[in-house]
Amino acid sequence: MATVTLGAGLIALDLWAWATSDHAEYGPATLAMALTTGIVYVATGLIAARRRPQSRVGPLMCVAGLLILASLLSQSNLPLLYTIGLVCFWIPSAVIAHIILTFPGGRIRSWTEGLLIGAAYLNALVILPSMWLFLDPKGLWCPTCPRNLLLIHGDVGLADRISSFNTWFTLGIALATVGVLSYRWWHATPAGRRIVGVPLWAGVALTAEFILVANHTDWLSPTSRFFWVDQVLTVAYPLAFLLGLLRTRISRSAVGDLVIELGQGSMPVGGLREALADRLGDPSLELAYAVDDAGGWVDEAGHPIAIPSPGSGRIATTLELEGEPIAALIHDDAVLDDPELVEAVVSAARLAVANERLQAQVRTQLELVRASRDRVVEVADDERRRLERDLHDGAQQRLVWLALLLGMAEEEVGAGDGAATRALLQEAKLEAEGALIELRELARGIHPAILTNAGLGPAIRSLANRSEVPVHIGELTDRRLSPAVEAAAYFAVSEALTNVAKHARASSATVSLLSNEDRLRVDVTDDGVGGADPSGSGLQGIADRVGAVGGTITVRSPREGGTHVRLELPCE
Amino acid sequence: MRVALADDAVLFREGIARVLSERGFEVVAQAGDAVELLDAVGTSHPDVVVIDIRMPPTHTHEGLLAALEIRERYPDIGVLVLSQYIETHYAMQLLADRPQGAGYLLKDRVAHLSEFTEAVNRVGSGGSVIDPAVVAELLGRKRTQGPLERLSEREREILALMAEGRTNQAIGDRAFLSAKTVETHVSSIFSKLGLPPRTDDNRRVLAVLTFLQAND
Repeated sequence: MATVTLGAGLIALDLWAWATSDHAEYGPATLAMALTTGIVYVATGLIAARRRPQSRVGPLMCVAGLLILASLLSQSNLPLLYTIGLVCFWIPSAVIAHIILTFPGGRIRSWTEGLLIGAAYLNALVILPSMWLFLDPKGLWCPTCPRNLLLIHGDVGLADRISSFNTWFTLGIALATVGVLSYRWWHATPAGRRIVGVPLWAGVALTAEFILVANHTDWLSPTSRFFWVDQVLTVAYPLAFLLGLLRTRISRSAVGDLVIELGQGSMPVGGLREALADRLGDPSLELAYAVDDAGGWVDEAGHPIAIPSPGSGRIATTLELEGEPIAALIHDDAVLDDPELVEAVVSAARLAVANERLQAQVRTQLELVRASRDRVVEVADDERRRLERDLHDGAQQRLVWLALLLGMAEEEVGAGDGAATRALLQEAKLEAEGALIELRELARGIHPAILTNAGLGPAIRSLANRSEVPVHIGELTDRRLSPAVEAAAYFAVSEALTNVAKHARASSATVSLLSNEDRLRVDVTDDGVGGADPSGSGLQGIADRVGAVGGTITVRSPREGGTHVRLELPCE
Repeated sequence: MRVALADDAVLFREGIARVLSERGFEVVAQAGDAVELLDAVGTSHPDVVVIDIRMPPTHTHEGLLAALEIRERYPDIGVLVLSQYIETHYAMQLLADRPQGAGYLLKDRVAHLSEFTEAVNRVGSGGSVIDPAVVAELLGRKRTQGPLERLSEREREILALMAEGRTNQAIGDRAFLSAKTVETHVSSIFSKLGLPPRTDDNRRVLAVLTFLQAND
């Protein structure tokens, strides 16, 4: 509001000064053009300041516009306003240099920028005004002009030298600015270039204009055609700055697409990073997830990732959920010049990131569960072996001893009157043997000793011998494998053959075990009725065991087409 | 007949020693593990060794390995391996190269004192002994149509007795047949199964077992 009031006041003052001027240098068209330039700067500056409140470019544009309006006070007959007008004439160019160099944030980011901007202001605020200490327009070419309040004493030669120095100094600053911007363009990521483009072209155009004007001073006269070109360009700059700032608005619709895409859940794993990189126009964007306990960061694949340090040209923007940092976008710091775009993308991404993070956590938990299942199977296998051995060395051994004792007792009783006792002893011996047979079957079911002692081949042959359905043995590896793999393969075949006997109504089954350096392939096929349910408890049990050793199981069981169970087990 | 015993269960071992001694065997050595046994066999040179398949230190099948080692080193010494399990694989391994003087019995069989001492005697005299349970498993195995179907009941019975390592004489005694009749049955079985005729009782154990194991 203050800016508008100030601007309106200046315009009124300008019009009054011009209308009452005794030394009118400007025709009505020139004045209108100059006023328009100032108004356009102020207006675009106000829009920019409202639309991009984080950027200082808007306020700077307002300042430039007000200074342009103030410079028109040189039309005044009052010495003070006249002098203010003279001094203000060159300051807008320094402000524009300031805008160009710091676009789009309006903040000085490096010492080169600071140096150039400082030089521009030095030029506009000190060097050029110092010329007016020695230049007296009233005495030289404008007798109707009011007094130059800054004048110490007229010295045309000195004023000329200052003016000439100023020209070269300005040219130096302009070229250096173009150099800096070109360098920045060259080293910028595509995201950066999108932003550096506007000030670079403005800088180049201004510099070219300056050089042309320096060589053709007459072009600045309102009668020259170039004057109008210059005026149009002058109005074009603030519009270009404004459009450059508002360009992020176009990207907003891309952010909208992103939100929709995320909502549809159509993003593949790891696709989020690409989507964000695309929307922010920074292909090098990385996505880091906070690891709960360690306080470190990992990428989507779970590899540790470093958060960049300040000044490295890359910046981490943190995403928080319920006050906890959950992820960070690591991106080119040029992207941060569009802070609102970053914020929009971050908001859109927050839920998706939370989702991906949950997925990552689930994957981690899955790993843990997998590891614990492996341990459970391993412990169970150890238990089985121990149990089998306890039976063998304990109960079975005692029963054998008992049977032998009974046999010996039977001998002792001898023939004759002990016939009844003898019969009892014989019966007891048969009972002991019956118990032994049952124990033997039990122990074999728990863990077959032959598997540990002689390996898969003999153990599978033994299974086949005892199967209820005729079993053909195809290929049968004689390699010894790790106990876990042997156990998995053995129990899988055992379960599969039990299923064949129970459900398949098959006339025969075929078992084959083939191994190469790193894999064991087990096939159990039957010619039965098919239709086996892979999620049935028997097959599920096989799958659990096989999964625990990192293997896979496939079951093909079409109706009336037999059943084929195939295992692939890794082995070293 | 001189016998060496190996089993880590001392009571059981002593029991067997007593049974064998009472029946006229001379128990010349007893051992608790394979190393002890090999030492004892070297010094006392028995006619036959009775070995439990599972012994210290690993309690897996060091008895079988010791048996194979003895057969390798002392071809004239018979070995009878006792096991809590019947595994065709072990039986075949033991008999593989040379069926003479080798036996494989379920441990429970010791309770039938006469049958057990007869088995020790047979192995000690260069014969073969295969546990009926092994033979039953092989014969009882479910098969698709094959040459075994062509055998008569009687022939199957005789085939089983052959597989247990019995001589024609012993088969005749069991089946109440004359040795001559047994001989006729045996050649009929061999021709039906497509096996070359064998006169040697021990060799034929291996032939029959191999046939039963391989043919499905």
